[in-house]
Amino acid sequence: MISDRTRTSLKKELRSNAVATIGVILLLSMIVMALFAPMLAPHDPTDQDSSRNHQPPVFFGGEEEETTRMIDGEIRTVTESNVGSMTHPLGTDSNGRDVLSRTIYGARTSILVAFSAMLVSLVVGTTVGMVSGYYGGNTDTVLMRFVDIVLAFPALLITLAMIGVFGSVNVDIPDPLVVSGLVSGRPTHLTVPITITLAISSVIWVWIARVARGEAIAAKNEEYVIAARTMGMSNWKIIWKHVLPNSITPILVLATIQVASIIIIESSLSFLGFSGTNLSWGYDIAAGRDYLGTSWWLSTVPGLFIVVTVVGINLLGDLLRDALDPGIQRGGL
Amino acid sequence: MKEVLTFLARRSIQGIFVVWGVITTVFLFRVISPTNPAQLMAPDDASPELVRQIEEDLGLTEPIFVQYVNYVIGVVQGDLGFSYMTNTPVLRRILHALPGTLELAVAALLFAVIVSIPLGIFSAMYRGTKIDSTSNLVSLGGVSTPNFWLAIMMVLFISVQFGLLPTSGRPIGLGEATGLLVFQGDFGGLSSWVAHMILPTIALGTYFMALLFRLTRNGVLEEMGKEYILAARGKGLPEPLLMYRYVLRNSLTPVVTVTGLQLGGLIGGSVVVESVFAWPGLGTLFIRSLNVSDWPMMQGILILVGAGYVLTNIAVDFVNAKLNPQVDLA
Amino acid sequence: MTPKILKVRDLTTRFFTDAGQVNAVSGLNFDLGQGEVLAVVGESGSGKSVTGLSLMDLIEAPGEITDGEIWFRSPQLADELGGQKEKEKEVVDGEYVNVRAVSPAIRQSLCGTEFGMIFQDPGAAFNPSLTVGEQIAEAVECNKRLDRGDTYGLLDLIRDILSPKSSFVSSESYERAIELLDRVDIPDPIDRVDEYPHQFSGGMLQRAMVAQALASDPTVLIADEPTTGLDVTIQAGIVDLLRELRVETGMSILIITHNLGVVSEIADRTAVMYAGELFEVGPTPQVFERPANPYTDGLLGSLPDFDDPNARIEPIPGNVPNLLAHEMPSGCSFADRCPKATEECAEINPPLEDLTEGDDHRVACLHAETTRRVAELSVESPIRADSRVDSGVTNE
Repeated sequence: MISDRTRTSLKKELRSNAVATIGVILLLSMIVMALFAPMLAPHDPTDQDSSRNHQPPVFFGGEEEETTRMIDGEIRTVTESNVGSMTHPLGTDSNGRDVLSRTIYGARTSILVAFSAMLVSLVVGTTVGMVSGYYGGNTDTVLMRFVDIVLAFPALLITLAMIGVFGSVNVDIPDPLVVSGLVSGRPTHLTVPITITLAISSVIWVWIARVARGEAIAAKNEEYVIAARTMGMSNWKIIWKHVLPNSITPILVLATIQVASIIIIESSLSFLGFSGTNLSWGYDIAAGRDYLGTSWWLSTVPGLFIVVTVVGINLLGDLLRDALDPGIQRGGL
Repeated sequence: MKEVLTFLARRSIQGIFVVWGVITTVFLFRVISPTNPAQLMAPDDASPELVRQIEEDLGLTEPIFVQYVNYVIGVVQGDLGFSYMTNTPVLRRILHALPGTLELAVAALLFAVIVSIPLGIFSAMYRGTKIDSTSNLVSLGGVSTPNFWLAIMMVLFISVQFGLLPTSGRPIGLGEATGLLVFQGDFGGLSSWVAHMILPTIALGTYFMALLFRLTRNGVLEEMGKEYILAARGKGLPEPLLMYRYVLRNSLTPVVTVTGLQLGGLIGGSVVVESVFAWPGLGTLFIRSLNVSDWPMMQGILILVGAGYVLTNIAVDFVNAKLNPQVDLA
Repeated sequence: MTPKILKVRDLTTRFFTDAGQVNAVSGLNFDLGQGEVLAVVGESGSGKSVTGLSLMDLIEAPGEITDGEIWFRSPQLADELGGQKEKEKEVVDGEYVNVRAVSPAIRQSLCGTEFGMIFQDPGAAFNPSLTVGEQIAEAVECNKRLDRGDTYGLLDLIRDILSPKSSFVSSESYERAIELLDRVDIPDPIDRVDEYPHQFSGGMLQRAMVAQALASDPTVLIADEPTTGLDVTIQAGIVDLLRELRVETGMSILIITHNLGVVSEIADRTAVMYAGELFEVGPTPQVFERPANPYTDGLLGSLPDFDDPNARIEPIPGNVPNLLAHEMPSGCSFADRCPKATEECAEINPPLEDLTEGDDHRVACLHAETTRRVAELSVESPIRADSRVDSGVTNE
């Protein structure tokens, strides 16, 4: 699938482009975080305890407040200074849940939705694009008009409408790390938001399809394709053996860049309250909004993680485009 | 002139087709959706007969195809139906909410264009300088920041910490504020409008600005490497004219295209931004309708936005053809 | 002897790339006579195009003209600049002005009034989004304005942007554009003036390019590979056109080409470049018939012989050296490909010197005398219109 030349130019680009390397590292660390969330999270992200709520991140001081408490059977007034500690490095939320753990688990939802939605979009989009571009004629017209219709809706509106149509369908699958007994005291299941994934795929695939179609049109007039046709190779086989492998690079570049959009759409949907799971960055940002005046970190931290992830993907996307797109060459004579 | 007309006619036919597809799609949404509107509208303790009665009133007992034809005919005549929840005409509610969203989208668009294009040109001309690398970094941040989080952060820093701008709401529309200024000489309305607009505009426009900045910068860089730039310099063309007529005009094509394509994105984005700022607009209306499965309302909004997108795209193609003679109108 | 219009001294242009410093042109010395056609020939990458761009001051980053003087004969300009400052010695010398030392404004004003340029690829040298006529008219207009000494500021730009049809170009300039198109033998100039570059064929576009260069009424015309990429018959048309124009306007032409056929047809003198240096310069017949540099000899020997189809084509072995400064040989840059190279050649980089007093034939080679003597003995090199320097040497 990926030619030697591609690999060489990628390597060259990676060597010469320190910024892109940072991007790759950022993205990889997010993926690692998502994969090993149960091991990396210091606490159970769902463990509530109102006695330690609204703790600021470490090194940040909170306000001193006087509270009345029942201690050892006596009612006493205690001055509590609410200072961040290493136990909860990024503080706790209004229910006393550990923000760092929640954010690490939030990466799971984002990465899971992003990759599964991209997989669905790639399969559907590439198939439609290949067929449309390769066969042309009426098939092409019908498919492309359909693409036009999907494109006429803003991505977020159509995903919301799809959620309206199908409701919020989620599947809980057992967390392999917890079930296998490697880690304990963490949620036993991870939630896959099916509706959101499919709703997002339903808009992303059209972008893939458009690029795939363009590539297929370019490839189908190449001599090796014409040669294969004259030798009596079936159309499907030609697409699979000749057209697809020669079209895959730009499709993958676009897919990388689109993963960033998916993560933003996913967090927007969670923010609006359609997440299907409450272990999600958007959900936590929305929840923290009510405490902006007192607990600034609640909305800030998950948002920073979104930005870091998306920056990483965008840097990787730029890297791929620079390395693989011969149209944009930089520097030199 | 003739080719302009043919172009418009051809694109209009295509556009009508797409809008028809949009209408059909939203109709299907309602049909597939599992919620029964009659159940929603009826009181909780309603008898099955009453529910049945409501269904009949809504025309839901008719065959699907008849419902579909009726719906399309209604839409063509400007009748988007009645809201399930308030029983008011959908169109009226939408038109009521439209100015809020439109003002926001246009302001965000203007903000993005005004900041990004000069900055993009500047950055390309001074490529590799500190200004360039800073702008690049900011634009990378801009395309990577979700608008709702940016909105919340701005509220946190500007409104909550410094108490500078209002955190939410839209007490007055632009039309009303202008009316106040013109007829009563009252600046209060307009200043309130501006104060409430600033944060939502920046929140909605930043992504777009960053995107346009990158496009402009890349476009200008690419143009500046072209041989005809050398040729123009060689014939003594003044530098400002060269930058405008040769570099900018030619690099504007992708910028215009993306501006058109992203208008839909702005409307979509405004759903979230409106939610952060409690902004009464189409987005807020859509979310509210979604939460109660008020399909006629959602359908109306989707059709309106879809049709708007189709119109913008025709305009964009037209502008591009004017900018770039290699694009044939016919 | 005709007066020199241009005297180039030690012209050096370098490119500072990521891979290192590239000496594209190193210490070039040559003169261009009034009304003379000088051909600069060489393989691809020998620095001939960079020479043209350097003369026009069109070198862009990462490139830079690092050294040298370009003396341009302009009594009028010399008068204006003369006696102004103490620095004048570097700027003005009699009737000559060193255009490398004048202010950027004056330098720029020379392009479009005194210097005109024809580019290699007319398809790339015309802005695709403006009509051909508009672009030629722009050149006419620029020339007029520069002659009057008009400046063009931001306000003018705003006015031109706001006005409906480009107000920069006056209708007289537009008329002149039509005349120019007619002059370069473009049929139906009144119709074609409003067409876009993509509606022109390659040959027609090259003619339009010539018209655009003529718009400024240049004293020196730099033609960078004006015939490359055109059909042979169309090439001949362009060469004829240039020859006519030269007689008509009396302008001097510096023609950069690797087509030796074109050279033999049009050039009074020929300069041979190799690896950014001038190897040989002299009257065309002398250079062609009695080349004194082994490289020139090799170039001519690598051409197919049309009178004797069975004659062997002798390609020059090896490749043009990498122009990266740190990889350049210290001696003669041709030494490792040269059949006559001696140990000395690898150490000494020979300067360009007169071969014999007074015959204007100059060569940079330690073995010039012997080379020339051998060449005199051999048969004349047959040159045809479509024979090219790079056939058998490199493939572009």
